[in-house]
Amino acid sequence: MRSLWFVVPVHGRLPLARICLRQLRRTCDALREHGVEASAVVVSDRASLEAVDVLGLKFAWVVRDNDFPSAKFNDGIQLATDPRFNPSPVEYVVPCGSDDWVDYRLFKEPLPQGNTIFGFQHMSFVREDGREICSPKIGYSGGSGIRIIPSRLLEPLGYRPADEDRRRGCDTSILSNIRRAHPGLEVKHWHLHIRQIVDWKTPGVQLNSYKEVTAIHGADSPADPFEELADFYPAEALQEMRTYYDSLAWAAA
Amino acid sequence: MKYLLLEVRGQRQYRGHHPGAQFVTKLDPALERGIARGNVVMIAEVEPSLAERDFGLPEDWPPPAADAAHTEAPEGASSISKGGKEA
Repeated sequence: MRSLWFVVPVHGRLPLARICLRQLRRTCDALREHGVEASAVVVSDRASLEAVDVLGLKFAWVVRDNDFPSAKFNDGIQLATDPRFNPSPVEYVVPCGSDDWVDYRLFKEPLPQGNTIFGFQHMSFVREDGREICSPKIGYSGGSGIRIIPSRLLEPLGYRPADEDRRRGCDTSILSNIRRAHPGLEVKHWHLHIRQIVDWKTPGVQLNSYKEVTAIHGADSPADPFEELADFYPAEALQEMRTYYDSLAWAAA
Repeated sequence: MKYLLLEVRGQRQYRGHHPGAQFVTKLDPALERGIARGNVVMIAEVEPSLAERDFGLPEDWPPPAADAAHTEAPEGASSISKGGKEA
């Protein structure tokens, strides 16, 4: 059976992170049913790890402050892949945000072989009020920040592929350093459907707002997120998210 | 790869790090120049690692199949336990 871990740094927006991590648990369970031994490692300060109930979710964890998000990715990736720390190192890691949902079918076989990483240029963004979703194509050669990375490619980098002192652009740093170690590296893009990855925006702290994302990548045809996602994600998860956005609206009123 | 723990000196930021801040990064030519100019000072040579962190694996990890593939039975252990139902 193939093995794969999602690597998820958490900082702030804990109610949203809790919902997304619960959905990630469902994603991992679905993958196990389809032949991939999947789990996740959550990296955050101790209070946040407790708040998102990382033990209850049966995920791995690393305690780390938020000074350098890139170091959080490195910690999680190292725990997943380095045989010095993991008795059964995984074959693949997927850096992922704590505000993202992913369709489990992206991570089934076939998984990347040789000097290849799988990337995703199609993803969806939900507006901060939860009332609009759009699905632009991310035109970057590396696609979105979510990628399936074979662990074998990380060994020459000491299983810590990101620059240690980055506060932004962690995914770019990871890809650039892997490219440097493997000059023939190829990023192949998978496309399952336009809602295959969903990034949930909320008011407050986040690196890129819905407005900024749509200004850069375009907004295609905006739609209602809960109607659009019903075909791809569990009703239970959608209901949790709807309740969360309703609570934000109620608090703002 | 050589990694250094550095501290920013003077009144100006260095690569986004505030004066007095400490950070870990790879040694490269630009950093060598920064050190030579006194913008940053090396505190120590370090190996960034999970070893300094508190961490835990999932309670069901390694998975049973990996267990069987990667570990040997302890000496004297039976290859079948409790009718094989716990395998």
